Amino acid sequence: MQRLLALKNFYAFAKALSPWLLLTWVALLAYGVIGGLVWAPADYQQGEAFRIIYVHVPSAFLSLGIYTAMAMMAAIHLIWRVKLATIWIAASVPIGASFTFLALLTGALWGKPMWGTWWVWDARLTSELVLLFLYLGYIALHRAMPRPDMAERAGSLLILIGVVNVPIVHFSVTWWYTLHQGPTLSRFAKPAMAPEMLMPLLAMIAAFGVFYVWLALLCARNACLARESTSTWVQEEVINNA
Amino acid sequence: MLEFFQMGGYGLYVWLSYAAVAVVLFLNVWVSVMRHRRLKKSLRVTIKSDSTATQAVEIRQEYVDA
Amino acid sequence: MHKFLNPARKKRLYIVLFIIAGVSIALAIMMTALRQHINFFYSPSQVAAGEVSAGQRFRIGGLVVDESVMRVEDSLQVRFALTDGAQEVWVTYAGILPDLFREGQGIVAQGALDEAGVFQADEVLAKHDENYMPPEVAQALAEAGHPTQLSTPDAT
Repeated sequence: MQRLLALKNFYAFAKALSPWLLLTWVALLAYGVIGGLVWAPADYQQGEAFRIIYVHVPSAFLSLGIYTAMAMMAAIHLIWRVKLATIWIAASVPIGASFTFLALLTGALWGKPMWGTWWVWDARLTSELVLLFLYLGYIALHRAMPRPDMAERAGSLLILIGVVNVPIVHFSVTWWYTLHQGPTLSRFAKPAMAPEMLMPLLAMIAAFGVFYVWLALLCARNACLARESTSTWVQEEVINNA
Repeated sequence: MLEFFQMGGYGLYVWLSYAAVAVVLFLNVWVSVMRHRRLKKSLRVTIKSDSTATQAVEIRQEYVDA
Repeated sequence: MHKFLNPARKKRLYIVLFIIAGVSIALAIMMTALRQHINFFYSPSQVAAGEVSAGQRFRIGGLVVDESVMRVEDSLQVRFALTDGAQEVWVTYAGILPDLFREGQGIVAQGALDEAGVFQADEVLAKHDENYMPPEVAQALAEAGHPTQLSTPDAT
């Protein structure tokens, strides 16, 4: 564990993992997209429009999942001062913000034909918008700080405070009356979805998750190269792997 | 085939959703891959010009600022 | 010095836990106080209990009562009853209804009550549930006596 925390070893580990993640991602995505768009039957209520679920739910799932991972890293950073934790946060923020934006956008594109409106200020949609502002707030705060170590500490603190929004997004549909429907997947009982519709959805969620890990590892590798640009391992890396 | 693209009249909404996801994910990948290439290239130039210390520090600074 | 939780780290751990607990409690108090404002709509039972007065603009949510939908010919005028299983409220609306609008469907309407206690809506949104299945399965369920649209928008 201690050894993996050294950026040199982390870089090698991330690099070795990368092609396998990419391969898994392509396989899951191919099955998810074809299964969702072609093999899954149309919904009894929503017809073909329900197929937006295969990009909407994974985006929303990752928007919360990435934030939760970032909050754990922020705690590790603040308590144990682990350098790699801040690198992982910095790598995660743009990806998390992208998925949050996509969850809102695909939600609007689903809401218009089904609910009859692009947007309502109900608890679910509003708390998801707050999540986007938390991601953007981190980026703004990070840029506003004069020193990198200050920026990282302030950023981790913001993420930690904002983590209370995660359960609010998740439980908003059960705590309050909302236009958004309840959760399909998070029940302990069996999912409220036919299996031939459910399998591609699970594949898409897994695909988005693998994509996040793959891309965050690449961003983190960039950060490792930049931070230790004067060290011999970086020089060997860039000369040997042109 | 045409029926598939029409998506029971909801084609616009369905395809726009999938296109938006494809575009945003692609941009994410593109930015990171490009940064990776630029970073390696500039580090290589630095090493070859044999004035490692100062320029590598500059690269590091540039990245942290970005 | 390299202990997993040396005194300095322990102190920072407590600060982190304190921040999360403090923010959670503050937010929980706020959300309890603002509960009615965070709710997106009132249920027919709340309306029947007089929680909103005539003329006040609000949203009402419920299921469209079976065989209650009446349309005025050659116009977009429509009249239907909404229920939450306990109380019913009549709604009138003139305009285009969402694709999902049908009897038994959950909907949310915005507008105000008139003097007669009828809800005059100027916007009607459809609310669907979290169940997804092919039409054949839904039909089989209905025939077996398990209608799929029984879950009220209000889960409490």
